[in-house]
Amino acid sequence: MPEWKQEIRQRLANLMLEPTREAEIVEELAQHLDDRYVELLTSGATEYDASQAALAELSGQEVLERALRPVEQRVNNDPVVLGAARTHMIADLWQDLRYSLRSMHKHAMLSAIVVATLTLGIGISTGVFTYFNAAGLRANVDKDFDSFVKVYSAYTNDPKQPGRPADMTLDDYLAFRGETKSIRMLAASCDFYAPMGDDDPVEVRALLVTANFFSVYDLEQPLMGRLLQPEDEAEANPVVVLSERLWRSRFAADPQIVGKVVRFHGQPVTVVGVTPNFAGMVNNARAWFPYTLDSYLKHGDNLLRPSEAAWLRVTGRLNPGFSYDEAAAELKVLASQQDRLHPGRYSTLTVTNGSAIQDPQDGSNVRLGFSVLVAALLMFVLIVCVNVSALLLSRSAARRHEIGVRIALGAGRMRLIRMLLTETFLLASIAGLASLYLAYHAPGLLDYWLINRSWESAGREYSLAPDWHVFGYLTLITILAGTMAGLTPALQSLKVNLAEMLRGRQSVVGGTRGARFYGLLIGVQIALSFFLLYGAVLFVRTAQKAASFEPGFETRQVLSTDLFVQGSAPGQRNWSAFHRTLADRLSALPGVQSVAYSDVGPFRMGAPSFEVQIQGQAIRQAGINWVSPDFFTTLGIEIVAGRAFLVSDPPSGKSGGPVVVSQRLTSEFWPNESPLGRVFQDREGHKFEVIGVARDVSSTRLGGLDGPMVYQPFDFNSARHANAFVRFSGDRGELSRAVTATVREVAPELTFWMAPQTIQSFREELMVSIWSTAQLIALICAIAVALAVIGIYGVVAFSVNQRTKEIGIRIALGAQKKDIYGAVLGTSGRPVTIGLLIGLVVTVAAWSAIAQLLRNMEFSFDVREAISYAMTAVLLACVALTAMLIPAWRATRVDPMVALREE
Amino acid sequence: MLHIQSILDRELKKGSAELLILSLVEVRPRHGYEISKLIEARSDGVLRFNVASLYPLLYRLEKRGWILGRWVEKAGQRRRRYYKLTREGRKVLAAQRSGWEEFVAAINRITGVERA
Repeated sequence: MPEWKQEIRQRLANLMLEPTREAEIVEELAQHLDDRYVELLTSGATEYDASQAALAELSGQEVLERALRPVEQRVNNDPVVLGAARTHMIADLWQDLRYSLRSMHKHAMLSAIVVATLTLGIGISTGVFTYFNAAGLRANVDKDFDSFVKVYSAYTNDPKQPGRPADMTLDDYLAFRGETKSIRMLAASCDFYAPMGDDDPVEVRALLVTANFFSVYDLEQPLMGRLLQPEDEAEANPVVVLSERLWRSRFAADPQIVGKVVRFHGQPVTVVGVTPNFAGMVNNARAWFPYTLDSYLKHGDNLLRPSEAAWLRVTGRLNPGFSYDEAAAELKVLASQQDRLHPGRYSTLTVTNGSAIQDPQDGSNVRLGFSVLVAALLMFVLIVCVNVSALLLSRSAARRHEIGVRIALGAGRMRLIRMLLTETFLLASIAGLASLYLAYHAPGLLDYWLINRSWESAGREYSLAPDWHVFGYLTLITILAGTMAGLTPALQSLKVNLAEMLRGRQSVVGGTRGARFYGLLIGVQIALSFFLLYGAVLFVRTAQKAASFEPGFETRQVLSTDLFVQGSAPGQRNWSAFHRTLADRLSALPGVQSVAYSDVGPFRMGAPSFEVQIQGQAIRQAGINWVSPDFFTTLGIEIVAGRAFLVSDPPSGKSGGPVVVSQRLTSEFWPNESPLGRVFQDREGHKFEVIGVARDVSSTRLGGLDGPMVYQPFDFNSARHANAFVRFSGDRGELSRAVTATVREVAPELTFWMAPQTIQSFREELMVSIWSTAQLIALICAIAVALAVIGIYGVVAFSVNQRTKEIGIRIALGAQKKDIYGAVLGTSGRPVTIGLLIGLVVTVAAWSAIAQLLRNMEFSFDVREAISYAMTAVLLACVALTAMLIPAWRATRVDPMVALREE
Repeated sequence: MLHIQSILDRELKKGSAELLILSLVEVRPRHGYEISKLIEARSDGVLRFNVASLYPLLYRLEKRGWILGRWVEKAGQRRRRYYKLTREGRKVLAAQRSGWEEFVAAINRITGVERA
């Protein structure tokens, strides 16, 4: 049989096929020619003719080549990885997965550490996100977050100034409830703070609600007795539903509570049921009354008559099949119908899903806080990923031989990267699944830590379970983590000098380039840690300062109480008489030294601001407060120049008049002159004359002095929301009760937001929540820094390992311990220093920006304190040093004989 | 004339070549030489494929997944590569067959050639 194969191979040479493929084709074609040859022989041709004829089938040089090129060319690129013959994506993936599992099993310890680290990072990040998702990004209810609806009304007489979205009038509510088709249940509620019991009454936060309130907030079955029914609402039955907390704390879990009569605000009401903890405990409400009991409970002042009073908070559930936009449109139409019944009035309705982030007033703050939070969480994950990268690098070094072989066999770069990334994604997915567990359980812990330690609430009211926001976040983070953690080792693995690698002499570090890369890893971790650690230090120091900062006015011997009037029916009461009567009555109480009023209470968020313009200078912002004449003496704020207000000073309100300013304002506006008698204007051109200067105090924020302040005389006539201050000596508890009783007597329809308490105790309450937050942040930052340090340790230990031979040689040549230390620390120390410097720069820039955004919060962040930066830098340098010292110490113990033998 | 004839022949052959091969492996798997002999025999010598035109075509069809090639070793013989029709190929064969029949019928109608 003639030899065809040579001829065939010749014709295939230019195609540069893979050897196996070429062999196959050659074999097949050779067989064909054999068969042809045999056939021709059988039919009588000579050997020579037969072989010539057979060869003729093969045609000329180019024909076969040209015919095969389009078919075979694409087969060429597939590398011989893992003996695969298929070029299928899914088959590759399956192979990679099986291989990854085997590899994980082989390096079980390392894989476990990687998964644990990733779980820590992803899990903590997701847990925190879940908590804030439940608290801020959706309605605080238990089920069906997508159907919850909250409606805000803004009423105005001037169509150009819509007014603040807030509560709704009773007429509007009843009209909407009757007419709306897009909202299935529309409920109304109103805060109510009532003393319960006869002797020694206890202030109880309650809600006046419609009967469908409980359904809106997902409560169908009470714990005992029944919930409110529509008849209770229609007939104004004097009934009440208590919460379990109240039942346990005030009634000792009396099993016979249903049917008992309890007095609220002096009025008898019958307990008809007890509820478990549920989402309807808005603003910590512990009891629910039918709203039609409003006048019954408040002794007269009747908001139930048709009026302009806007006092109802309206929530509900969407009908299936309707969207928020459709509901908003429908309500808009209904609102304009209502407006026609009240000529001159324009109402604007806002419909949201009830989440904090969509709240028309606070929404922007929540959005801000959330963005900062997400950024911090991402940074945390980043640190974790860099850490994992370092861990994986050490493993990739061990595999360099294997990678070299693969490349020699023709594995494509992309294919290898895919294979390596699959392993990391597998690890990340396992961590992601484990994090899912954390996502379900961590929010409960967070809730306990942050909330329960400052309020006495036990048990959760609304669901903190994760929803698709959380799952989306988790998926994203897992993919991100998998990619970031795996990309670096994958790319590093491919930087190989093939020949050297196969000979076993190449280290993955690859000379200065590699060393610089490790330096980069260390530097990045240090920089990120700097950012987070500084944040922790800042929060802790701010909390400290806030606690210890002397506000500059009397806080312990002054009771403050917020007097809030429901509704705004004008002319219902002679306010001037009310305030003066109240002041007189309060002054008459035993122990009371003086009484004063102001518009804005201390340490509530932000005083309203005011534009001040002085002749010849730019317009500036100042805080403004309206205060009664006794304000400065009651609170102990010294007047350093001029005088305080007198009763005879006309209430300036908006039309100009006398003002007292703070020292800060004078130092900013008239630095070198006496401010007394000076005049400035506001935006509308009203003129104000400075008649006194008060000492600076800290009353709007914790831990820092206020900005420039302008005080105007309190307008006794128009106040519907005022703070009363009572300076006293003696027992605080008794006086608090006496004050409450007095206010109730003078104006039974007023509501207190909280019982009269000293300003100091209010500060302390705020402090507790700040401390909890600060502790939490410190904890998370500590974890991140710990991870970073472990990462640094890993990288340094690894690089020392790589340099074992070099170190062995040095020792053999007579290097001392300190030389070795110098070598190791020198190499690793440089990136640490650079990382610290860069971290410092980045931190200063970033935190200054953040502080600027957060400047309106109730405590002041001082980002210019050098000591905080110094503390952070020193702390970080110390831990980094420790992390480097251990491998360095181990390096000095290298036995040169062993090291050199390790070829 | 001859020149045009050969062009036409080439084009026709190209268009129908796939159909030929698919239908030949429909019944049972065959190897390359067998296929080429069958084509020559059943067409009474009108159609002939040589190595350079047959095998590239086979490989192309295999790559598309219409036929599947397997090395089979029978007792006492060298191994041979047999091609069989895949499920995908079966669908393609049916489609091409009906397409071809329509085409031929159309040509016949136009040119007035009646077949007995």
